[in-house]
Parts: sequence; C-alpha cells; structure tokens
Amino acid sequence: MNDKLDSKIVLPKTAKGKRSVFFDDPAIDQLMTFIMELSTEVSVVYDRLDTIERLLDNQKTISRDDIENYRPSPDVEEIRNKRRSDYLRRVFRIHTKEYE
Amino acid sequence: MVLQAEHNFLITGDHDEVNRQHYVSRLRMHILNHIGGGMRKAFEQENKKETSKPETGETNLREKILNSNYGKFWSTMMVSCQDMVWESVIPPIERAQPKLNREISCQKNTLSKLFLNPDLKIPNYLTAVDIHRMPGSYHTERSNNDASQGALYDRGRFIYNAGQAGPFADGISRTMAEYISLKWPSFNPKKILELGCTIGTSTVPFVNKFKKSQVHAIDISAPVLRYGQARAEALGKRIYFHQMNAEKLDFDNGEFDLIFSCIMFHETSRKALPKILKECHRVLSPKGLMIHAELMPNNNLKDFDRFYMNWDAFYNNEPFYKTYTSLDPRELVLNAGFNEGSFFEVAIPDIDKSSAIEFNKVVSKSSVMSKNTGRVGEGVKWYTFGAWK
Repeated sequence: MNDKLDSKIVLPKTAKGKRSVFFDDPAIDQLMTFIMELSTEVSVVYDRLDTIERLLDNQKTISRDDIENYRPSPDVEEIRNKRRSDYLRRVFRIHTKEYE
Repeated sequence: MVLQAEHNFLITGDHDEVNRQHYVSRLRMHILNHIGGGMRKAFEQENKKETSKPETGETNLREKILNSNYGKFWSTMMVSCQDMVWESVIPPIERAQPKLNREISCQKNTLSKLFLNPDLKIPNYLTAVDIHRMPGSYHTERSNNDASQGALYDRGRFIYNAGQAGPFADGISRTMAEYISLKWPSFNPKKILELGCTIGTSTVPFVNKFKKSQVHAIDISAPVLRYGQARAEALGKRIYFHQMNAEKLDFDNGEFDLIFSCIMFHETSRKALPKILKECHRVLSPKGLMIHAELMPNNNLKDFDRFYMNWDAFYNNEPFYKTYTSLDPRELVLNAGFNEGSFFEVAIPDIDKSSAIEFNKVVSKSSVMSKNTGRVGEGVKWYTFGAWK
C-alpha cells in the first residue's frame, strides 16, 4: 500500500472471476456488448441534444459550460426515462410471439 | 426513476456520464422485466404444451432456457449490462481521486466513529472473485486512506437498482425497521448491531427509527467503512463503524439488544455462516432480537423463479448464492443456539411498493410464508428470518 495521500489512484476496469459466454460462438456475446454499448452512446447523444434544446427554449445562445452544468429536474428526468424505455423497446425486441 | 439523494461525498459524473448511468439503469430494467418477463411467458407456455406437469425441475429448465436463443440473449445481455453498470461509474470516481480520499480522511467527524483493524485478514470467500462483478470488490485498497470502493459501491448499486430502493438506496432496511417497530411496539433496543454494513446505507434507517438506541455497524472492508463514516457524518447520523469479521466479533456476550443484516449471508460461505449465527447468539442480550433479510429459500420458489434467482450464482460472481438458498434458515438458527419456538420467518412487502393496509396485514399475522411466496412475480417482498433469545 502507498502511504502518500496524494498518489494517483487507478481503479481496475474488469472484474476478477470468470466471464461467461452463452453462444456457441463467443463472437456473438462480444457483438452483443458492442451493440449495447453503442445503444448507450446513442442515448447519451440524444440526452445532450435534449439539454441543448431545453436550454435554447429559455435563452438565445448557449455555451459548453451551460450544457455541462445542466442537470435535469425530476420532471425532465422522468420524460427522459420514458424516452429511454420506448427506445429500448424498439431496439432490443425479441422475435417471439409470446413475448408481447 | 428517483434521483439519488446527494451528499458531500457522492460522485456521480459530468453531464454525459450521468446520462450514461441513467440509461444503463433503464437498460438493466428492460433486460430484467421486459426481456426476462417475455422469457418467463414463453417458457411457461411451452411447458404447458409439452407436459401436464408444470414444474420440470430447475436444472432441466436452466438447460432448456440456456439452449434457446431467448435464454442466450437474455443471459449475455445480463452479463454485459452488469459490467456496464460499473464501467459507467468508474471514470468519474477515478478522476475524483486522490481528492476524494483526502477529503474523507480530513473530515472532522463529530458524530460517527470508525475503528479500523489493519491486521484483519479478508476471508477467501470475499477475495476469490469480485462479487457482483464489481471491479475490486468491497475490500481492495490502494493507499492507507483509500475509500474508492465505497464511492463505487454507493453510486454503482444505485444505478444497478435503478433507484428502486429509494433515493438513499435503503428500501430493504427501511422495510425491516418499520416492520420491527410495528410488530413489536414495546421493543426498545438500547444497542443495535448491523453485520456487513458496507457504506451504512442500511444502517441509517435503524438510526432514524430507533432514535434512543446506540447503533453499531461492522464490515470487513476498510474502504467501504471509511466512505460509510464520511457519508453518515455528511447525513448527520451517529453510527459506530467497526472493521470486524462477523465470524469472530470483538464484542462482549449479551452486548446488543437487536442484531440485523441486509442480504449478507449469501456472500459468505458454508463454513462462515453457522459461525456468524453463533456469534449473533453470543453477543445478543437475553430477550434480544436477531433479524436478517436474505434471499428466499429455494423451496419457496417455483421452477422459473428458482432459475431466474439462481442465475446470479452461476454468472454474476456469487459463488455461495445457490448453496445458501438451498439451506434451511430454521435449522441454521436452531443450531446456533436459539430455541425452537423463537424462530420466525416472514416475507415483508416492500415499504415503498405496498399500501399501509397490505403492510399492516403482514404485521398482524404470525407468518405469511407459503409454498408460493416469492419476491419474483408477486410484487416485491423481502424474506426475513430471525429469532428472539
């Protein structure tokens, strides 16, 4: 252990222990991670756009700081969550009759 | 989804990071409820078609589900999403270091106390794998004041739960504290002990409910306790935190009137579990109450729920989970020295997700367990067991 209070802390990014794969070809498991991560980034871009639109509702120009400092109210968060859930239902749907 | 209650040491992230975390929460709920719910429906219908006997056994069912594309997609998405939860919260916490550790170690604590034991050995069952796939698990520390794993657990667990346990992520503990106070209104514990408190989220509701009590909380990991003390102080709560192994408590016989834990035992081991219960019996005062919230024993679950709940045992780094759920809490409690008549078990409806009428109905009954009681598919209920000394 390091006794210095100001030393840089690096956190591990992966977990100790086996990571399971479920498809016969592990590439499909890997592809699902790619797709899920990509879906996340699309949602993050959508939220950033939503922030810009909401700021422009009230002011003519906005700065990067305005965007970075914006935090949605619980009402706006609820609207975003509804949008996220609808988006998830469209993107990650399974082709099974009994599903719906 | 409720927003997480802020306190001085909570690390969320910048604009995009917070939105990423909130999306991952929704994604996890979609996989659990929408895809998982569809999977349940598909398999229940298929089961009905194939055989007149509705239950075919968990092992057969697991094999069947995991051989289907439905089960494979669900499972691979569960694992990826679990990793995404932690990935979404790690960068801002890492960036906040070493300032966070410094601020926590420099904070003046006027309410809470922390007693660390640097010589304590972390048991193998906590170091063999990172439980819940949380990188670094509970115990990893990189400097002598490191509290990062506490910060990671605080934010990560909230994102994992999608805020379902309330803004302070304390729903189970609030449910237990409310149940105890309504069920036994004349019970006034002087000293309370929580086992496996991590960052004290489940300790605080007992401080709030039992205002005259002195509340102690133990955990084996220093980083979560450092963070827990800072958090408790920031929230204005008086808690005595101790770094201790629940298998061997450094407390006197009969010291506590109430001992509780929140979903802890399944993260211990077959050898540790009876030792912990014996220690509970030892440090509990005469006429004291022991109560633990835990996973529902398997014999109370239907096949699909058993598969669904035990999935974590196989794929979410919870090696003791499946063995734990196959054990009989009554037998364990009696073997620890408690009397036959004093054992109880109850499935308490979640305080935020049930009406007062529903909650009181459970309080007024001596037991509400049945073969079909489970927290999957029948509303959220928390299985608790315990005994009076």
